[in-house]
Amino acid sequence: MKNLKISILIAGMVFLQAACSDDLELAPQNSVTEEVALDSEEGVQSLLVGAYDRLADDDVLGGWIQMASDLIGTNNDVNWAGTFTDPGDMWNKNMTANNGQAEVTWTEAYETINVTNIILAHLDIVTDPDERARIEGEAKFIRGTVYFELVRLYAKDWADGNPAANLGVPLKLSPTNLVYDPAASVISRSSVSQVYAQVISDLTEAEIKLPEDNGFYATTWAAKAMLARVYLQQRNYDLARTKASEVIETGPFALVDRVDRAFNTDNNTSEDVFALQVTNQDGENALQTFYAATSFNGRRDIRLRAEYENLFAPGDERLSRLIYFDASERRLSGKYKDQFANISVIRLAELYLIRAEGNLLAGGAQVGPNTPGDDLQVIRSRAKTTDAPLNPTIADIMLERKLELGFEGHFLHDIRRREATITQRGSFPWNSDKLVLPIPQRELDANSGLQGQQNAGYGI
Amino acid sequence: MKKILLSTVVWLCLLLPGHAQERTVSGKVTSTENGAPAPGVSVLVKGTTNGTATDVNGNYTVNVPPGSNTLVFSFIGFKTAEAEIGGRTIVDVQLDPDITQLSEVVVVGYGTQIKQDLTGNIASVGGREIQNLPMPSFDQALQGRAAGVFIESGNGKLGQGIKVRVRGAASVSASNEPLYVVDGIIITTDDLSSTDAPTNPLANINSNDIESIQILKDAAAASIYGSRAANGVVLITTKRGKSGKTSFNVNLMKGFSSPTRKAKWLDGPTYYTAFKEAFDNTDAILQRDFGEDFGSYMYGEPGLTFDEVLDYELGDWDKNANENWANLAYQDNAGIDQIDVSASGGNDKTRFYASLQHSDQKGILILDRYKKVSGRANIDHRASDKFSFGLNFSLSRSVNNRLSDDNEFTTPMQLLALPPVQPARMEDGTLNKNTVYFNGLIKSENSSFETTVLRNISNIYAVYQFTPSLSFRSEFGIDILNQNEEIWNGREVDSQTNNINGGAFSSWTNVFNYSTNNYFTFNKQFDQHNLEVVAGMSFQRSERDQTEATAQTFPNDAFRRLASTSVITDIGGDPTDYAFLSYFARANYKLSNKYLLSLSGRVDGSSKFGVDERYGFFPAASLGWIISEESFLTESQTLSFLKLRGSMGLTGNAPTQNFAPLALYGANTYETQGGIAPTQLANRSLKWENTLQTDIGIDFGLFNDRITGEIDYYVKKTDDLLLNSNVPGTTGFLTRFINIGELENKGFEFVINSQNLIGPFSWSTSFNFARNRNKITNLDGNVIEGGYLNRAVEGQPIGVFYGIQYAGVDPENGDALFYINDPKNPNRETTNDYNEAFRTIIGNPNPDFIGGLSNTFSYKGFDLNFLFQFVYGNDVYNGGGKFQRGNFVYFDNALQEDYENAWRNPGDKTNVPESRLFLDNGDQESSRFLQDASYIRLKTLSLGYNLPRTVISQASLESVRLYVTAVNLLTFTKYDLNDPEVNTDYLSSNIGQGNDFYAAPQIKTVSFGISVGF
Repeated sequence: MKNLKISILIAGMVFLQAACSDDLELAPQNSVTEEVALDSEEGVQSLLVGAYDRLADDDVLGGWIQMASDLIGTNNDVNWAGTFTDPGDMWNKNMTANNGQAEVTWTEAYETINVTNIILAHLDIVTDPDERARIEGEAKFIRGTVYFELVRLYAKDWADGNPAANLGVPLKLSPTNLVYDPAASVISRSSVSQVYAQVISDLTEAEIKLPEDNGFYATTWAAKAMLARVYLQQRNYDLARTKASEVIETGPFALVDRVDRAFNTDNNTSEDVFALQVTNQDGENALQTFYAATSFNGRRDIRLRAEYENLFAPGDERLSRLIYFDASERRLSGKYKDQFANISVIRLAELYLIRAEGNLLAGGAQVGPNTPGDDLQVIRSRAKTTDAPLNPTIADIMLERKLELGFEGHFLHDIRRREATITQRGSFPWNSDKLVLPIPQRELDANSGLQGQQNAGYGI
Repeated sequence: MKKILLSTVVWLCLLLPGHAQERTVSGKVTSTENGAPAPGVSVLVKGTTNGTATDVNGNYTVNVPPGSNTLVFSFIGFKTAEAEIGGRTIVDVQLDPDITQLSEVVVVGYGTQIKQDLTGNIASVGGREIQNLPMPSFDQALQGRAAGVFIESGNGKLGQGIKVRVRGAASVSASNEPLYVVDGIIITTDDLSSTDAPTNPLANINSNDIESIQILKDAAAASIYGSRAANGVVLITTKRGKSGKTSFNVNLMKGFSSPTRKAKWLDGPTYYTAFKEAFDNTDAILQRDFGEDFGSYMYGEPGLTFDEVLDYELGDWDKNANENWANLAYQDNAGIDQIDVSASGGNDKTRFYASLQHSDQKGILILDRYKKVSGRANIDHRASDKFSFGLNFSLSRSVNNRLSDDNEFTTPMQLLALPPVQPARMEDGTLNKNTVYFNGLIKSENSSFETTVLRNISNIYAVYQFTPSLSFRSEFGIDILNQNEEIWNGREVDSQTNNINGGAFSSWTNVFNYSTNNYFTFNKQFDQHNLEVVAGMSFQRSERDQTEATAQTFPNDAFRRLASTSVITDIGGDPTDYAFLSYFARANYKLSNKYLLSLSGRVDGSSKFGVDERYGFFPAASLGWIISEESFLTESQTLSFLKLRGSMGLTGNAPTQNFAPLALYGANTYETQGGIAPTQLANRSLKWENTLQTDIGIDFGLFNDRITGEIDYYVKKTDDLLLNSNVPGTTGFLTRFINIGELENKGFEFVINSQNLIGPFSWSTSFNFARNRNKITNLDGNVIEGGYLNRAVEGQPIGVFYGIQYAGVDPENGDALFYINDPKNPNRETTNDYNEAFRTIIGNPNPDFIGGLSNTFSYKGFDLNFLFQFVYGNDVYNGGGKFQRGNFVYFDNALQEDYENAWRNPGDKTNVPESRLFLDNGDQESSRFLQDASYIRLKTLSLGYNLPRTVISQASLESVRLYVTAVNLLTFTKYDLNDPEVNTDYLSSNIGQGNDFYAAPQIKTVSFGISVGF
């Protein structure tokens, strides 16, 4: 009888264990495994949406790529007055290899790139050829754009020495398989010209494959506009003006009637060639966070200097409508007031200025109907300010870029392209090592392929 | 069959006395401690097998065979006493409590053991030691009481997470917290806070319900808990009823709290003078170096005066204002109110313990509060000689009014950053909204953050005694944790919360954690062999459901709940599950009461492990030799007890994440479209960390055990670290879990308990001391960072501070200097260019040694106990140093001492560089802000008076005790900010240790109480 009881108990325990061992097979609820995620066309389409989400991250084009350029490239335009030390070090030009902002922009940018790489490796799942072309075009637009931003920030300028010899950034063009291969992840920096070649290849394919109309996603016009920027930075003025002119003349864009209406909008404006979407439920507008007054829920950490204001002629609407003062008379940019506003990446006004610069410097036959003076005048008359000179100099165009495109991420690249010298917080020529972001120390530590490839001025 | 057996036994019992002429002796056994009857005391006629036990009233009757003249009274917790019978027929005996505790019963995994038979290392803390301490959670109360157990409260916020390290940190990326087991059931200890500041799920346990706490430290003790035991196991046993008269106890306590230490900040006039000086210094430098004045260089506006700069930078300020912002962080009515009611009692068959507690603690910081109601009923019932069962039921509800994390402008401690020349309130009494940083008082008046936890930790058990030596026990336990976090922010706080017209956050979490233990216990004495075997299985499953919503835009500030918002901005929550299926066994063998051998093992299978590594095995073996039982020592007058023990075994540490081995994709959003993106790299063979621990110890007793002690030396080597290893960011990922790397903890522990004086005036001392050396021996080249400057790196203890080394001030010009420390060119050269200096190891947040010294005195009705607790040799980095004590670089209020000591004239020898507004001069992160944070603290001091029985018996009371208890009354340290026991909440992690950043000082509480028994 006793044995019977024990037997029942033991049998009970064995049964319990058998029942329990199935319970060790649990699945996550908020995530899916790789096999499930990518087993359908919808999976690839969702991944493309995910790529835009990453691109719009605050550390990528959601603000910090633009602010890094403007904080480093400010030439008596802005002050950093915030408590965060990483942007402060950018502004002071005393960054170290441990600059946290340089690190997260790098890692988030490559996260974006990896998503595009996964999409490009799974295109064969998409059966419809038009759909496949669109997805490929968008992925390549995003990848090309991100590589362009990376090579501009983390490497020497295109014209600073020999771009074929200067180190660019690592080119990772295959997806990181989620079953990780350590050997495949050790990659070194490619040269500046290799990265530019990849950027141009991606954007050119995007230009061919993307449709003209694609909602707020990338279009062929966005690819052309980005190419215009790339060529301009390469001092390839001819192709820069050509691409810019194609967008101006054949694209569906028009300047908004009043300059401040190009900003703080929930939907794309008629002059947005490409903008990142921010809603009250998704997206981050870091530009608003750091530029806006506290009354707009901003931190007002980036403040405009008197010199910047003084560049405007009186009556310029870019002064009266886009510069304001907060309760303590801090001078702030009015481009970023609405925390849920879209982030304009490229707008039509920039393309007029690219074409003007291209036509002025490329020589040969003028591209497009407008002279550089005409293009400048388009911008200035919209701002209701004094007329542009008939025959503007390059200095006139650069000034106009500063007035029109200020705080949109162009300061550093304009300084470098014009080989100018920064005279704020010390004196920094365009090719100073201090203007180049460090390769993040964590990358040097984690990737043996980067041994000895740190940028000059950042120690070992 | 059973009946026949029973009657046989009865007959035997009746027959036996008939063999000889015997006499009957009876009497009563009481305790010398309180005169109370001692039930259950074994009474044995010396030299015979005749014996009995006392009944509930301490009475006994025993038959004494002829020729026997001595009775032996023994009971666990009391000293064994012998009494000569002589011609008496009534022999009353008083038993002394056993101060040596060597015969104490110690709770171990799936059973109990007598302390002197232990071969493992277990620290025990009696419930009495932590009773009625005015602290929100029992883990805080353990500080300084258990050797080798390092306990740290990050700061003085109530309900926050507490760091507990048993013999050092055994992991880099997985948890370093011990496993908590309440009455045999593994409870939920996950941090469920929705902010970066962890909360403490243990705070829901009523510490007055705790009978004892055992901390299993070495492998011999802990490996029966397998893959979760590498950080030690804390076994909590709650109080149970004793048969006898029902006793009631009512306890009332009221306490008053204040901060332990406060730094001294500049007052208004000094602030103005100090910053004017910094402005002038900068102006002079700019004129010299750039030919520009301050306004021109800084703003492009030449000729600005200092006052104009203040106008521009500060907002509303007043040269005559003198606001003490730092003090505004604290509330006046801080303290605790607590009521406890308990009842316990029962009879032979049924025993019960029931309690109810209500406590309301107001923290030192404005709005900080922790309220708790908890109830418990523990019932044991013996249905028959063979079958008994019982129930432990507890329910508690806590409401914690919480504060912003330390790194937010809205947390009260950040008020101290505000300039004293800015008044907190305007003349009309409204709060100043135009301050240089957000005025946190606005938040305190326009927001709320409440975390409500409803928790039920209960279990039922049944024991079937097949034979006197074989029993089977089955337990089923649940831990249901319901948590609701509710945040409301009014429109005045919009600038800090990014809301438009206010906002709300609500998070509902339900953790259903259930488990069952089923095991056999076999215990038998064969001649001089004693064998105990435990074998069984256990299954645990935890299911967490969670939903969070963030929304904004209320009609107005009268509406404060989520449902009244207009715009949902985020939906979140992390539902997740895990399960463990385990088999365990242990055999303890004792030969001749001298030689001890113990073997144990556990097989753990878990959903957390990779499919290729689902089950792990964790064995341990230990030996003990009670040398004092050897003939050559039994007669020793000095050495009354001596035991040598040694153990070796494996324990594990499972991943904190439930699905770490899988390749995962997560959902995201762009505009209003749903997207996906990869979130985690796979590792199908991911498994537990392995810790091999060796322990050698000596337990000793001197002078008839008036002095007892333990000395232990251990080596804990952990390999296959569950490392969240860095991968190149170019892959699109940051980290990947792999089992790689090794670390070790080595140390020794020393415990001594001494009964210095016995008698009417008694004095006992207890001292513990522990030293642990942590070293990461292999990290596969990874450098894992945390905190501000902390990192995990090979060859160093976990969390070392790695940064620029400050070299003081150049006496010629007041420049801050830094050691260059070029690894390629090591020398002591300095530079004033921060970027020219290289980082190096500058400090260690891990203490060299820790310990506690406790003394208890009693005389007549009075008792006095005080505990000093110490931590020595750890460094703390003040991450707020760059703001609080930069070089007057920005307008944060500064430490008084830095103003006094700043460099001013060539030749000044000081460590504080010249003040320079807006120019970096020593404000950068460097060892300048690193300090030794050793301290000795009078952790608890309690004085009690028990009213004489003669007085209270007239009022039909059993006992009346009046007491005063003080916690954190005195702190001795060289740390010059607030309190040295600190780790800022938003950065606390395995690696992020020893950081101060506007962290609140610890709470000093003096409480008064009365406890009445009837």
